[in-house]
Amino acid sequence: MRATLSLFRREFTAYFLSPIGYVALAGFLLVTGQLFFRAMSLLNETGADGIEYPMQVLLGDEKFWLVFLFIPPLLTMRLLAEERGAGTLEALLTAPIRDWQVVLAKFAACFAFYLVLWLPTLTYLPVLLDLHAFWKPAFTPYSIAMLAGILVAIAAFVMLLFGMNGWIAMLLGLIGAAAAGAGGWLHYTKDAQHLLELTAGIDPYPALTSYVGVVLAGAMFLALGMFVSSLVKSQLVAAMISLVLSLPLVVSAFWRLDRDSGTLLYRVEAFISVPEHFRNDFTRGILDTRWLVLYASLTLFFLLLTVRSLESNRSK
Amino acid sequence: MAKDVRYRKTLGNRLRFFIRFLGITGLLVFVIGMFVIVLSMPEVPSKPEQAAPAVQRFVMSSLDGSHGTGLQAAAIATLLAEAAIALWLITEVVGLLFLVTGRRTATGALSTVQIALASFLLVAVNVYSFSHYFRLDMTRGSNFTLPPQVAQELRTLNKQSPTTVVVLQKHQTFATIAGKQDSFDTAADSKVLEKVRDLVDQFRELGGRLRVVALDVNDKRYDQELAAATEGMPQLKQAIASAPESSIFFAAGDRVQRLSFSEFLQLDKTGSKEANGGKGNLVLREQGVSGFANRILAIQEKRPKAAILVTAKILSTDFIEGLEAVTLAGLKKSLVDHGFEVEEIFVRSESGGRNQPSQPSADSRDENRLVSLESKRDALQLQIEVTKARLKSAEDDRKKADEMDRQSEDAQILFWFQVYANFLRDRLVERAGEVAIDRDVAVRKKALDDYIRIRKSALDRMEKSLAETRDELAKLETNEKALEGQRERDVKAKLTKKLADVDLLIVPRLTIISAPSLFGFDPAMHQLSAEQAQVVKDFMKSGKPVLACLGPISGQDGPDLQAIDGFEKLLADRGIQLGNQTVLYNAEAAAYEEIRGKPFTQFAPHAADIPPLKLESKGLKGDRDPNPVGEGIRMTERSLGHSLDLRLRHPRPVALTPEARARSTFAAEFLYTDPESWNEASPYPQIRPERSAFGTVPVVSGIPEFQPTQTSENKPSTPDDERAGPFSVGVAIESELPKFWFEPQQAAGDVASLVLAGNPWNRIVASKVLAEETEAGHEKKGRLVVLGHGGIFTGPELKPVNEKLLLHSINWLLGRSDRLPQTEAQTWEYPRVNLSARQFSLWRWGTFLGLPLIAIYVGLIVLMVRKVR
Repeated sequence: MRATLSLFRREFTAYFLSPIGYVALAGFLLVTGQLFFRAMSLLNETGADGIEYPMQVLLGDEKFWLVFLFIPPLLTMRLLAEERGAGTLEALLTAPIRDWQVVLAKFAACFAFYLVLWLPTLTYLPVLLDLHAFWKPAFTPYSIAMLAGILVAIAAFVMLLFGMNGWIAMLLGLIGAAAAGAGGWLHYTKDAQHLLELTAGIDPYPALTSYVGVVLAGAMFLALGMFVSSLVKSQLVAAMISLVLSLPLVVSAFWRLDRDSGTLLYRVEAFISVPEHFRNDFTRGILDTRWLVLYASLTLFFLLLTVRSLESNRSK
Repeated sequence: MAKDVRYRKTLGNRLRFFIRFLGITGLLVFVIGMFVIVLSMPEVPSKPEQAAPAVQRFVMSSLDGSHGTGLQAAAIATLLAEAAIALWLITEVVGLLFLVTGRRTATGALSTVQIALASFLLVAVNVYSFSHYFRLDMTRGSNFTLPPQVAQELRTLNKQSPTTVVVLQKHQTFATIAGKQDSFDTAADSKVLEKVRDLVDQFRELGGRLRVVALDVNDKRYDQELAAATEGMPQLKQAIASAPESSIFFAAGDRVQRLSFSEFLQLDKTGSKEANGGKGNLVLREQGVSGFANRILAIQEKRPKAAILVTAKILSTDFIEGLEAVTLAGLKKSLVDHGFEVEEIFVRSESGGRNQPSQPSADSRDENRLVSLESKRDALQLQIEVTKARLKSAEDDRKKADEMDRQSEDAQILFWFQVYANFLRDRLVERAGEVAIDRDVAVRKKALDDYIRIRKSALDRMEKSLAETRDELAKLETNEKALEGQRERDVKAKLTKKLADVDLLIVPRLTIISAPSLFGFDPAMHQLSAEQAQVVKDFMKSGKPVLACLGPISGQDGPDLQAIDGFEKLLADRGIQLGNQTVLYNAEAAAYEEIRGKPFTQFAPHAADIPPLKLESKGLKGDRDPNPVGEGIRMTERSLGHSLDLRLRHPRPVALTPEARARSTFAAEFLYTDPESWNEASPYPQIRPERSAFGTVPVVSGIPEFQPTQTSENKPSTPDDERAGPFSVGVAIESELPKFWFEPQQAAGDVASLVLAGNPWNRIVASKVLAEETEAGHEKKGRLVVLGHGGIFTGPELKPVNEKLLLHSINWLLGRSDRLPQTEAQTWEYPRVNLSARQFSLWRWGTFLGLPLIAIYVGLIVLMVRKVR
């Protein structure tokens, strides 16, 4: 576990220590910022124009997916291809760590950075959901416990990030999370007044389902990219191949072979088209088990292939 | 240095190279071969699922050389290329598998098995989830979940019978009445389309086999896609062609139902402009999914049948060139377009001949045509015989005229006087106080020759017309139903039979068209006979609805009270008070004034601009529950963003008696004339002959003027008093049928008429009728809409405004409330955040530039720190 955590930490911090992470982050925020501006303009529109589901502007647009297509390869290309190219893969494989732990740690780190990419987009939500927050100094034992728990959890995360005592950090994290959770629940259910009153003028559930979709679809694309990275030595080749392999999952949304949405052809086309899943379902507050199963199963499948790919390297 | 293993020329490497080379070459050959084959095909279906098998069939048929040796070679090359590609792909997959799993150990073999199992599991799980899935609707308003009742009904749909749903986008849904499309109409059109598609998808989850096709008239491939969508379904094609606006069609077999976009979601333009603090938003009124569901569920049900009582061919639904403004062609078209079956019943027959009064009848269109053609044939035959006889006589006289040249002058004069008296009467002149003929004999002969020539030409025309009439008659005589109907002489029984399966009766009575021009139809021509009125009464007694459009009964000398027939008395029984006057607008007074004292010209232009009718769905005082038809129109007005421009020239006051008004649960009167109007007993100008330099000419001696009736305590006011407007001209009631209609004497009368009809079966049911009518009958309610104008639904096509009034009226009459605009409907609109300009700029630049700049800043700092280390 320690080795896994250590590898996770190494991989995760690597993103922040190389320019590629910041370039990806800045580029990603520029694109989403532009899409957010479009959504905000439509929400602030006068006359007959507008948008019913603002998240559709961000994630239902094909242009977003064309840009998004480059993000997972960019994040995954170095994961194993770099090790292989630099000749450190053999050293890693001979280290006291199992192949699945290597894959898990690297994937988790990559996935965590992917989540970090999305974190700044939460700042769009006050506008996209027409959120109104009202702070009240309702300091009760429950609210104080919740705040203290949050602070402790943040401290534990920072400790973990900077490589301080792992066990203490984990323990503090657990205590903080428990205090924050229990305190928050009791504060919400028992106290008459709350520290924070949040009202959403726009349905918040489409935003929630959109983020669920983004997390799961991202995991799928990252797992695919990681598998490709495990097969080749060159990072560029890894990025190119994973880009090409991801293409069918995105570009199938760009053309309509059949206008009858009830035909098998249409349904199969819609099944593999990730932008369609977002345009029709996730961004409109629908969770469809077909897409969830597809993303989860492909993620697991590619992770399994990656593990087997590493094992084959060991046996060569 | 050892040689790089990748360049070793082993057998395996050579084989792999060869297979790859073969595969890539095969790919190239396949693309070229398919290109050649598809180009050579006579027709390639537009749909991929049809195109692929068609191409495959063509390739297989090309193999034997039936399409030429070139195509045979292409087909063979394509098949070989497919095999090469397949071999290449299999080799690559196997290679990849070995690459992933390793090949040298037993672990490798185990890995291969594991990956194969995982692949199988991946496919199996996704195939299962593809067909067994669940959509969790997490939206706050359950926007993508059907109401439980609708869902339950849809589950009962027969999954074996496919239903085709065509979503037709004509880009004119909400602008059909307004005439032009504005931004609200356009936005509503596309939003409704989106909602329709969502709903169809939800229906498909539950219902039977729904085939959904979206058509856009602006699409370049519209014609091809329409042809593909309507293949084998001519009724659907016809319905799509006649749809006036963006609509959804539901077709199963030969049954088609149509739902316009506005019947699903109605644009509230007034609300849209007022929304968001006056800044505007798109506001749609949800009409409920039940209307949508009903179309699918009721697709196999019989279409409602409307019967129109017609009194003359020119007032029928035929399109008659030059007279289209008075025909009911538009009414029929609108009804058919909206899913009605329409039957015309001619209640007046022209069998008596041109100069004979028409007789009561109950003919269908074909029967009426048959009667009129027979009458025309007989008249033509008679005319031809007479013309031939006169022609022969004239020709004989012409021969005799040449011989008369040799006779004495007196004999000649006598002869020619006889000829002029017989054939050239119009050439007789007065000379020196005596009747005289042309002096010159040659002129006389030429006049006789001209007469013979003209008569011969007329005879040719008559014979041609007779031949055409006979041909048409021969065709009609093959119609057994028409022949049988024609043989039936009992008008009452015939009308009863015709109305038996009718759901709605429409009684249009066009009378005055333009009073200043003395242009209109005699009100008496619309009269129903007593037995016809009795049948209509029976129709109403069964609780079926009637839509009456009754023009004024004014004649040249005031109201023609003789024109009031049994039908109007039935309406009076229901509490309807039909005015005997005609409503004239103050604006028309000027037009009348212009013609006063001037020679009367029948087709003088009448340019007075009259004000539109006013909708008062809650009555004039606004204190009653709203009238359902009026509410439908009010919602349409909201959809338009302005009042409906419904104008009626010369309407007839239609109101409710005070007793009936008190009984009505809602405001029965809903359409009113402008207050600037009065009820005139004599709307026609008075004409009298006057001598002038040009001889005697008709001159307008008197015009209608507003002269209010003076009332006093001794002379209380009556509904017929002349007074200023507004006047109610539209009434919709739902009331219990008059009890006296069901009283024993009345019922006995009905029984007697049944017995007298002569059918023995009638005697058996007579007693049953008596019991039924007197016991439970009077509890029946009936719906009735009366509009005070006979021309409100005339013309080759109904104006959108008039069509809306018609549709709201008949939908309410038939109890199809789901097709009326829903007044209590929930509204939908776009969410708004209303940021100030400053907030907007802060959010825009803060997120678009601020966040990326922070990321770049942190990145630069980290890089600099690493460099310092």
